[in-house]
Amino acid sequence: MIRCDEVTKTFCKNGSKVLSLDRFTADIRDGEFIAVRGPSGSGKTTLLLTLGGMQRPSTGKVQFDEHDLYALSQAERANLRSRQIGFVFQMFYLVPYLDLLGNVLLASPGKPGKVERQRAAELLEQFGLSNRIAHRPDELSAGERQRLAVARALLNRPKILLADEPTGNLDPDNAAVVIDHFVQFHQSGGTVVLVTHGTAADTFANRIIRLNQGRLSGD
Amino acid sequence: MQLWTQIICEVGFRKLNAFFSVLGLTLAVIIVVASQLIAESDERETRRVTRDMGFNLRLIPAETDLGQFYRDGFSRFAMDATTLDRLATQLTNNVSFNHLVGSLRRGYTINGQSILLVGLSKTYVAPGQGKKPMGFVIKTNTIHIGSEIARVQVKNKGDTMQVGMQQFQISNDPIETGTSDDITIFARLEDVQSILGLSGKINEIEAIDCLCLTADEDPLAILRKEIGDILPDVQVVHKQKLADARAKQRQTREKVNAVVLPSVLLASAVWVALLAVFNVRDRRQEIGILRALGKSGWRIAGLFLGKAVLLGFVAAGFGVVFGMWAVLEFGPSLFPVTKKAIQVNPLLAFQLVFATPLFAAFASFIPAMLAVSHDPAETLRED
Repeated sequence: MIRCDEVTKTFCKNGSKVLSLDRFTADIRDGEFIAVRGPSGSGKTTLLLTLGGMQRPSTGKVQFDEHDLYALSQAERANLRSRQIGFVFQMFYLVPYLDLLGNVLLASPGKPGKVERQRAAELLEQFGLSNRIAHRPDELSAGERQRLAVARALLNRPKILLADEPTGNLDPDNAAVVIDHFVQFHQSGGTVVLVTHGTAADTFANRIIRLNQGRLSGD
Repeated sequence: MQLWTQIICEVGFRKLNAFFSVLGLTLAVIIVVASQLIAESDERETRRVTRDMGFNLRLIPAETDLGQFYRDGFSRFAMDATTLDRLATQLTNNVSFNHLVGSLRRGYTINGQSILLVGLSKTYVAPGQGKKPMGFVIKTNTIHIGSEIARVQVKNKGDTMQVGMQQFQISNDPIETGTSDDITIFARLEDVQSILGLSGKINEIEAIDCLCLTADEDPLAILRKEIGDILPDVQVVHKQKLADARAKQRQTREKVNAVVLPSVLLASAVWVALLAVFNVRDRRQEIGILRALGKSGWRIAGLFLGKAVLLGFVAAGFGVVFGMWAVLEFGPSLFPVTKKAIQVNPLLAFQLVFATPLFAAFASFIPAMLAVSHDPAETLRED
């Protein structure tokens, strides 16, 4: 489904060149649950953003299904992201001025209709947030916020979920609930790439990719 | 999520940013409304005041001895009244003079009192300008007399008075002016021509110059050239102090209009742009996640430009209402001479309702482009 071929990403930081991904090559097949592990600065987030079409690699190629991801125009990539990829981040990145329903519906590619609204309501119900539908994110606990972020990522029934330390800001109980949602998504046929420091997902992941200084150190 | 719903929610959430944007735009609209209506009032007031200053150009027969002219107040020579017609036919918006009045002036004696007898023609103005005639209009069989004549001849408004062989009714209240007008009788040109036996003659054409030149230009040379091309047989005498006062009044108004309005608009644009930049900075994470959710650059730009348009509409409403109220409230005391002409300008209000949102969007354009070009990966990596 996603093929990374010799993907390298370098940044210019404070005048010096930083190598974030170094000739990374791997295939991510449909239906896999992959945990990406590695120390801080090993390139995990860069890998995730590159897989999601958010960050053009310096060299190398990312193939998403039949598409050369970075040969697509920005608009085509945005469209593909909108319909096939769900993102979840450690910092939630919820829109503070929208209520819960508004935050979920934000993922809708066009003007949300009845179907989208119903789907959003179902997701909020599924994530235990249906009684907070008119609340704003700042009225939620961290665990609730992350559940909301996952619900938003799932609105368009993506093929793949890319999650960057989604449990990093959560207590163990809430972390388990969030991981459980990823597992459910995976069990329903979705692909999960989960960047994590911890080992919470190791039980469910059917593959672990290890990164060190931008290089694949274990698969 | 619809764009406008999102914009309205954001405005409600970041009230202070929206409030200051609306405030800046409203003040700009108020100043535009006020300055526009004030400029119109000022234009009217200036025109009226400068008109009331009197003529500043005197065209007299070429052979006139200026010593005699200044001493007596009139030329002893005369010219054909057709001279006035010739000049009047050249009155267009392209010449630097307007308001032509032909006159015949002579020293005269009534019951032993030496006076000045002046016959005035009608006023000629450039076509299409619709300007009111200068000074007063003298009706048939009437005259205007100076205060000293009234005192010596013991005459008042409504009395009859014989001048030459004709009887006239006095149509003015003779008020002391402290000028030669106090010993002058003003009558219709035809009457004075008849009294003096100078039918078809005049000895002066008065006019106003329309020049508002800069210090390095010579208005008299320009006027002499223009008039000399039409009437080679006249001398042009320019009342320099009056002309300068007129030019100064106009130039001051034009300078104020040229500086104040652009400065206000520039300041307002900078203000709105700065607030938009702060807004973009505050919303970097939102921009990042919107990109991650697959939103296009148009959508991101629409969030900021749409907000500017919305706030522009609100500001236009407030600004037009407050600006017009301010002008109607304070205008009459600022422009007492033409206060009756101060009124609401619906066309201006209509224009501003559309122009303000466009102006706000224009001011927010660069911040909106900053938002569009912002690298979302950069924000989303900043955990």
